[in-house]
Amino acid sequence: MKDYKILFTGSVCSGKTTAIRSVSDIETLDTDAQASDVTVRRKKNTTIAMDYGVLDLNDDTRVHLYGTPGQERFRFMWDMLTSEFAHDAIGMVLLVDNTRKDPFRDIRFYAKEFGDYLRQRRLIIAVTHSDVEPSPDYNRYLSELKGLGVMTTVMFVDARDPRAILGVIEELISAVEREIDWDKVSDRLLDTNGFSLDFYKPLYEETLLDAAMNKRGVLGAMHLGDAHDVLCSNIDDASVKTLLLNIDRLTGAISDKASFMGAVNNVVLAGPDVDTLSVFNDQNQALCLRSDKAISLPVLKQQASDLLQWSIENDYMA
Amino acid sequence: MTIWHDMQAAGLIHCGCVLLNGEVQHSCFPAESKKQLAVAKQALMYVFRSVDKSDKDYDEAHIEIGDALFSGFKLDSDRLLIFLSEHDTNTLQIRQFIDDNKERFLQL
Ligand SMILES: Nc1nc2c(ncn2[C@@H]2O[C@H](COP(=O)(O)OP(=O)(O)OP(=O)(O)O)[C@@H](O)[C@H]2O)c(=O)[nH]1
Repeated sequence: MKDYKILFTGSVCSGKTTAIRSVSDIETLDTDAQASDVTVRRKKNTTIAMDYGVLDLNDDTRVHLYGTPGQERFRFMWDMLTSEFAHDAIGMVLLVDNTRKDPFRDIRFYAKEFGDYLRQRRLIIAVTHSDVEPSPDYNRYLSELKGLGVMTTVMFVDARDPRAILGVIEELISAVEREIDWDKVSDRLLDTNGFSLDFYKPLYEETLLDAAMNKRGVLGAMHLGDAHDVLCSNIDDASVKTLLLNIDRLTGAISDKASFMGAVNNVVLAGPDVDTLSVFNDQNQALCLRSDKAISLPVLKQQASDLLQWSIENDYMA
Repeated sequence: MTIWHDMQAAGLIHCGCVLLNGEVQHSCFPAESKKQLAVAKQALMYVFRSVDKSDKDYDEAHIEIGDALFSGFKLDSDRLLIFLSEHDTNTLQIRQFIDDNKERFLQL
């Protein structure tokens, strides 16, 4: 028996669990937890440990599919997967949710996080949810990746469609296995697994503040609206609040007066003995965070972009 | 080799300057970045004025704008270091460099 391994990763909701489930021949092992005990309000289940599935390609070849948990607070599993379970994988599939505010930021984040791992293996970028949000399109991905100096294959897929996920697997495996009849595998999968393109219905159960407080190192949060008004806040220290509001006003002023430089994405304040304060801007809202000073800037940015993503969708739903 | 060269060579910054009581004391911002410097200066001075008013001990501020990052580091009560770098620069390394070379900056 020849065994290959592929590791799937990507942000929360990018479709890792769905992708693995759609092509697996075994009941997938997924360690999803219910929304009630985790931070999600965008979706009902989130993977807390890992996803695992197996796909038979023919009588003596199979692929083991591993999926990382999306949430950053379960990142200890990322190490475990790259150094143990999937240390000998032939490639990694980065699922990128096209509805994210800045999908390229996700790519930069994961490419960096898995940088060492990717030195020895192929990366495929599989863009999901493009049926919901078609832009950025394929060409934009290519030019953006070129700019990043990342040489990789980009595929637009629907994680719920076994044929699409099989295409990604084929892209990786066909380089080393020439004897596989991919059409046959595809037909078999459609017969046994089938698939349904039910549009997922987000479940909003927690407020932005709850979600923020569940992020690693976050000690307080404040959500500001279009007119620099406080939508909600659990930051009690009045002087911290004033400071954050001043900074939010500054970001507006710079974006207006120095538009030649682009928009202000965020402002971060740090010091040796104080909590880190940050203001993250979005078109029509801002998120302020008070965080443990040990949290690094890249992690902080990733957390904020997750949170802003959710809150926009929430407004949209309301 | 100036201290700015050292930082550029280490890939930490594009350019930098020292403000003494709000006036440029020493700078390696090229002439074509004058506008950027003006924005950085105004914005960071505003930030640190707000910090002073709040009575909190913040000595480091980063403003990510477009693809650029403006950073301000307070050297002492009169001096502010300003840097322009890539938006995803490792700010911890800049902090470390400043801590290791504080005397050199104070002498500029
Ligand atoms: N419309 C659409 N929905 C998709 C697509 N891919 C996945 N989904 C849906 O997106 C939702 C989230 O997918 P999951 O597979 O749970 O996401 P995940 O990456 O495993 O998330 P975590 O386990 O929390 O990290 C599910 O309801 C899927 O059905 C797609 O391409 N288009």
